[in-house]
Amino acid sequence: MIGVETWLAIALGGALGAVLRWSIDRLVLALRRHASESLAPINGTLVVNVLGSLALGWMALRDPTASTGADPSWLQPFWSVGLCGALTTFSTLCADAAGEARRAGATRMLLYVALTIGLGLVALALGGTMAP
Amino acid sequence: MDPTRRPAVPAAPNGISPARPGIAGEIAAVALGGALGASLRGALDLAAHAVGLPSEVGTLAVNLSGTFVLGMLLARFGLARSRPWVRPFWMIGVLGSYTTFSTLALESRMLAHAQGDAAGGLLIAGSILLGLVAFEAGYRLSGSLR
Repeated sequence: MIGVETWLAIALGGALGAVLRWSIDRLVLALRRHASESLAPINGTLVVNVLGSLALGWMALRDPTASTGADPSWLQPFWSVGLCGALTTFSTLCADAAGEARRAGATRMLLYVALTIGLGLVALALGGTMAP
Repeated sequence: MDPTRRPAVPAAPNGISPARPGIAGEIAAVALGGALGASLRGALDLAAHAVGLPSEVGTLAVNLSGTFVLGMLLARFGLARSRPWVRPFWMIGVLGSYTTFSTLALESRMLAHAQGDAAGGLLIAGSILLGLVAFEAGYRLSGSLR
């Protein structure tokens, strides 16, 4: 059984992550209005998925011996399931990829998916190397 | 006009229906939906763990079900102004938080380390491929139900 504290941590992290994703999406949309067409495969979903993978890597892959002390029990569910889980999204990634295929063709869709996977995995690994 | 066909949205008394969420309302809807979606995933993760399913299977089930529902909602409501809360609450909030990319990336990396790069690559690329199928299935099913 898990405690109320854990549920609250997940819910709070989820609320924060979702609002952060919504904000970043709007920001990227605004920036793209001033950018050239060459930035087209970079959208808000890609940015949040990369940032969230970086944040999850920092939590899940960091060197445990480097930690200054034991994490409080709420930190892991708050960060991993709540914040990072909500900041990143799979459903919108698939909707964006499907939209990309309809609008710009299969090649552009594959480029978008490959960029997400590649940058996501690199960010995850990078997060793990970040101190502390 | 066909009298059996009711309008999708009841008209507001002032005739300018329905109310669009203001920026604060939209943020509140996203936050509430996000809290719900993350809790739901937490519960399903726990259930999957309890019955002994590998975490990758739980994540895949969450991601595919959420993507299927998003396909249905987008086909049904699109970005329609008639249902101004569907997008911030259900699509961005609940489904956006319920599904996850970061955990998928982490599990793919773990699998790559344990079983080789091919297995890890297959998990992340295969998940997205299946996600596209789930999205299209939801989108088409919902469209054909109208």
